[in-house]
Amino acid sequence: MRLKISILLLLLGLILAFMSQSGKYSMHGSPDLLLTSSLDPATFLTPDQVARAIVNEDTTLRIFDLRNASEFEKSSLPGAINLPYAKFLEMELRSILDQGMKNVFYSSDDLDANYALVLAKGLGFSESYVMKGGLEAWNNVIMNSSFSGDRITARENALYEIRARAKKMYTEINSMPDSLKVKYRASLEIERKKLDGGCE
Amino acid sequence: MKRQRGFIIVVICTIGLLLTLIVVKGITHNHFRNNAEKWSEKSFDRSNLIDLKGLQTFKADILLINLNSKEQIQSKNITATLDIEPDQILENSNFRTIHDHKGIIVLASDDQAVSARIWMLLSQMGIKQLYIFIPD
Repeated sequence: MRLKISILLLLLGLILAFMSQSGKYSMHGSPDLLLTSSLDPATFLTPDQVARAIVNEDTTLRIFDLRNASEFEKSSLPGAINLPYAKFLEMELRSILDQGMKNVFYSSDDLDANYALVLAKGLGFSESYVMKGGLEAWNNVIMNSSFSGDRITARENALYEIRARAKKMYTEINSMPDSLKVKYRASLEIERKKLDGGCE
Repeated sequence: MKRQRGFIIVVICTIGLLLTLIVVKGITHNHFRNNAEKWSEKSFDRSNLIDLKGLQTFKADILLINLNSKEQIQSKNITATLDIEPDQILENSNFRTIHDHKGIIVLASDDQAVSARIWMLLSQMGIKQLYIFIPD
């Protein structure tokens, strides 16, 4: 009798263990809602919008560079945090993304950032955005920005002003020696922790 | 006698608890597969990207999902084409076609961002053999 009960309990335990087998993360919610929110044009930010946020030191937004660490070390957008896409789901995303801020992803092209966007939204991080076109677009729009013509409107002037300042910041930060870059990123991290209410 | 009764109560409670957990787990329906990492791993090494040359090497039937791509993709093993807007991908008939297709499924769009987003969504819903078409 006891043997039969033990076998029954063991079998039930095994069924339960098998049923709950899953990875660290699983997406949840309605696929239709995820599709709608993923295809929302508002989830695409232009390089100009990102440049404006960088220049204005917008604290409601965090920029994530999804390239690998070596590419990130060579050059990255000012203030960006490295979150390599290949390790995206190995990270403790709740402590990285869920900060009540907009999470803006970019990579070298349009693929990784958009995969990450759907994953992030599917895991409940609704405030997720992508810099459309990635670094390629940043280089085309911001770094290679130039004005040709006789007249410039006030609006165009403001746009080129932002681009010029973003370009200057990008160039200055990425031309720093590696040791200074490390210090710069560490100081940003301390600033972030202060803003989050943590300690140094 | 008392000891045996206590033992039986413990056993019944344990079995009851396990059965409840199994039932709850079974009826909680999630449209997405467990383990997001496993279902997105092809995107990590980019083995989910395919060009025209790669398409020709497939022996299996290919379902081409044309998400507003202007490019004419020609391959002898494309057996079916679905011309749809990206936001129609989960409509019953479209999703059934995708779900029931036995072979390769290729997403084509002029906007790689849209292909990437649809790829991740469908992959997490358990669609296998799913590729993104990359023009040469």
